[in-house]
Amino acid sequence: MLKKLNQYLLTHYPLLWNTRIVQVLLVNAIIHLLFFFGGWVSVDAHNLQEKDYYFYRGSLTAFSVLCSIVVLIGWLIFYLRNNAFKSFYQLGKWHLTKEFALILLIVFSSITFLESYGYGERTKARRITNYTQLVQEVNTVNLAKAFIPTDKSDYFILNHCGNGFDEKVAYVRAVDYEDTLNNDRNDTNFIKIRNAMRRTDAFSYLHYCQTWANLDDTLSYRRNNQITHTVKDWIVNKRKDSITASIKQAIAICKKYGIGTELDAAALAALPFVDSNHTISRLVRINDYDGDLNASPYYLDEYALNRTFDYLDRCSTHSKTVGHWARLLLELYFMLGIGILLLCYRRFSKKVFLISIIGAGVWCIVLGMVAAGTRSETGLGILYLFLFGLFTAIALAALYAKRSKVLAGVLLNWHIYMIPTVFVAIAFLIVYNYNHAPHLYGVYDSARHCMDYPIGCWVENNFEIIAWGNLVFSLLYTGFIFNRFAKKWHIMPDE
Amino acid sequence: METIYNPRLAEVKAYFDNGDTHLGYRRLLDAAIETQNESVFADTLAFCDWYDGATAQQNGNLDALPAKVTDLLQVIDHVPYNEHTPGILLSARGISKKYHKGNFSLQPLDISLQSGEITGLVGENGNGKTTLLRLLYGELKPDAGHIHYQLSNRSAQKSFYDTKSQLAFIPQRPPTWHAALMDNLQLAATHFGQQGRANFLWTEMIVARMGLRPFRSYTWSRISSGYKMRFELARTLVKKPEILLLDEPLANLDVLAQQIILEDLRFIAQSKSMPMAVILSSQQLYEVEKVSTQVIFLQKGWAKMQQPAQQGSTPVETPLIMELETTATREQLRELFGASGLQRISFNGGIYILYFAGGSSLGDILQTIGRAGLPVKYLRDISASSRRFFDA
Repeated sequence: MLKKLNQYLLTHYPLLWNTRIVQVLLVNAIIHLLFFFGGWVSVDAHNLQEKDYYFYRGSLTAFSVLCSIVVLIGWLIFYLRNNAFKSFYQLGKWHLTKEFALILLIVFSSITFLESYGYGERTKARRITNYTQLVQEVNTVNLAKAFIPTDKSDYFILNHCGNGFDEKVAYVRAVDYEDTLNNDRNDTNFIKIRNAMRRTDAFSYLHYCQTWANLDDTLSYRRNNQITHTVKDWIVNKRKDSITASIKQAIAICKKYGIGTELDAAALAALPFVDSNHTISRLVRINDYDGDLNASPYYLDEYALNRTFDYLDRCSTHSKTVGHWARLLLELYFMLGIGILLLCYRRFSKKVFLISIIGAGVWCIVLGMVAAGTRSETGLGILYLFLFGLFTAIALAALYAKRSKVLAGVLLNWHIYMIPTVFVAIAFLIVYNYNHAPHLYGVYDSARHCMDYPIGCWVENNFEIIAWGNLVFSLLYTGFIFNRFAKKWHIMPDE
Repeated sequence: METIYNPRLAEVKAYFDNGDTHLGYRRLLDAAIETQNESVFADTLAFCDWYDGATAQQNGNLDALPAKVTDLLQVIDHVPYNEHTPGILLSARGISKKYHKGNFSLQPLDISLQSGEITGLVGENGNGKTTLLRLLYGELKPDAGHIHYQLSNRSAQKSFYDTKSQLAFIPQRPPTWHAALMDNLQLAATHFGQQGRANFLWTEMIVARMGLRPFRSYTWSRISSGYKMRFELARTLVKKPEILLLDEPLANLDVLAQQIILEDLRFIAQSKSMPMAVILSSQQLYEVEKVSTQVIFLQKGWAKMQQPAQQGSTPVETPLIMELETTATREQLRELFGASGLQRISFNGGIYILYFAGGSSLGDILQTIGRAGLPVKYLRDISASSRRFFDA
């Protein structure tokens, strides 16, 4: 079957045969499936709290890298056996571009095994708790959390729902507001807090104004003022049964996720009614061990619960997360880098390739030394761009004059190595200069500064767009333009 | 009915009738290849299978051979084919090349390569043979003069890359082939328009023609350098190039293999349906001269052309030059041939080269040798050979 397929590709689609795209994609699909399965089985409800959305265990990452290396080396052994371009075989108009695209596809599929692992994890996590369930659970815990006090500051009288973070007068448990030696003692907020703390109702259930599990997609979850309204309603109307039920539901959720708890729903539901001010009389520990023998008997590992919810939330909304796209961008740039290296090896002679690789290393060291010596980011950036321009100009001049083949080849290689970084370097220079530009109106005003330097402001605020645009440009340039240069170089006479 | 094939088919039949089956087999394949017809290829390969089977056995029974050959020839005879008109494919005028490092320079040279013809390039090492081939292939840029390619394939005129795809340059040491040998041949064929079954049949035909069928499943490292050259030639033929440039293709071959490959090159170049211009460099002077239409002798970068004698042209009285290996001394030879117009004797590598005046007769010389009872080990008339330029 495989032999027949090989023969068919060889006699109909030589590029597909040469790149072994079918075989390598098949192998990669199997590895991706195995990684997906690995991710799937690695997740259960009780270990969600240990999961990290962005980072994987070192051993897993190392294994994934090892798989990538093995696949890529195995593929290269077959791929590098034949080179129609260097043999001057007849090629279709887009043959070289297609070959580059296939290289990119193979490299991308070979360096993203961890993505499948993550996808397996996310899929399993969503199967454990889908988004609708998660919203319900978060809302339940957020409400119950009002009656499971772990930090007095959440119940401080100066808390106001709807206040912006900046305007909020925040009580911090660790600060001794009565300390006469504190330098901030006469600060307005200090005075406000100190005065408020002297009130008998300074810390009351009625002041709770939190969404404890503060997840990314705030639209789907109940807002803090809604929670506050329910809490007040239950306390004012002495709805102890509702409070008990809510805490029980939260305990059940904790049990589902294996979160460490030691909570007595009835006892906790009784605490708001100990005095008429509904004062916080007892806190719930967040560690299962507390050295204080008089510590609360109640315990909730709220950090683990928070991590669990956070992970589940990201699993449901992963395509909207910035980190997800940033990692994809990084992988695509890595793919581009390997793709360019392979392309240069396929298009140029071994001698030119080796000189350009070693030369590029030397340039990196030289530029690093210049950077360390001058400590001028702008100077380094300008030098880098100058070198790029110089390499490109000489390479093209030699190419069109059909002279100095080796020199032209090496400079063309350096040119394409630098292409993915050129616009990024320009953007860095713009942003650097923007941030160091004089403030025309004396006092710094970000909005005003932005209006004065619109390009710098736009670049700084849209760096991600620039990075994506640069990636697309680099891919298209390499595939469509650089391949033509390489072909022109290939037919140049040696001397 | 007299077809354009008839002479070829008659030639093939004559080979088989005379028991020269090996040559007949090769010429039969040539005739089949001329047709460029898949059905003929399939029949021919079936014949090859039978022939290989029969010859593989000791005392193999070849009784059915005449009938099978006749059947195949009849099939071939009924297939029309395209005949290409011979023409100049490459003309270079005043090309010269001087290397920046070293003192060597190739002096201005004119050369034309015509389809169906073989040009021999001879000369001692370091006299510019490879330089000239690389210039013609476009690997080197001439310092002066220009090279004009007049290839018939229209796609070759699009860019110089396409032009080069219609040229084939085989260096003295062919690059190593990776992967299976047949895969390499099929890949080349696919890139040059042979797809599917046509690809299989075409590569198999070329492999059979080059005598490589027993080595199809071998790897590059397992075959001898002679067969490496043949596989390289097969890959080249699969591409159907218009110009074939070979740098010392005979260097690693034994005497028999040299003769076979040169003969094959002559047959291939003179193909009716896909003729090509061949230029090859070699140290094997006489062997190359035998198959070449023109020979270029390069000495210290200067070219001396050896053109074939044109029919009907006025004969020019040329000096008679002979190679002679004998135990006689220079003085004895001078005395013996003094009356026959001997002008000069040089001694080169154990062999005397005798220069006679224009108009001297080879018959008279032979009679003189016979009468004198001169002990002769080797005698050759090199008056028209570029061998005469290799003077001690």
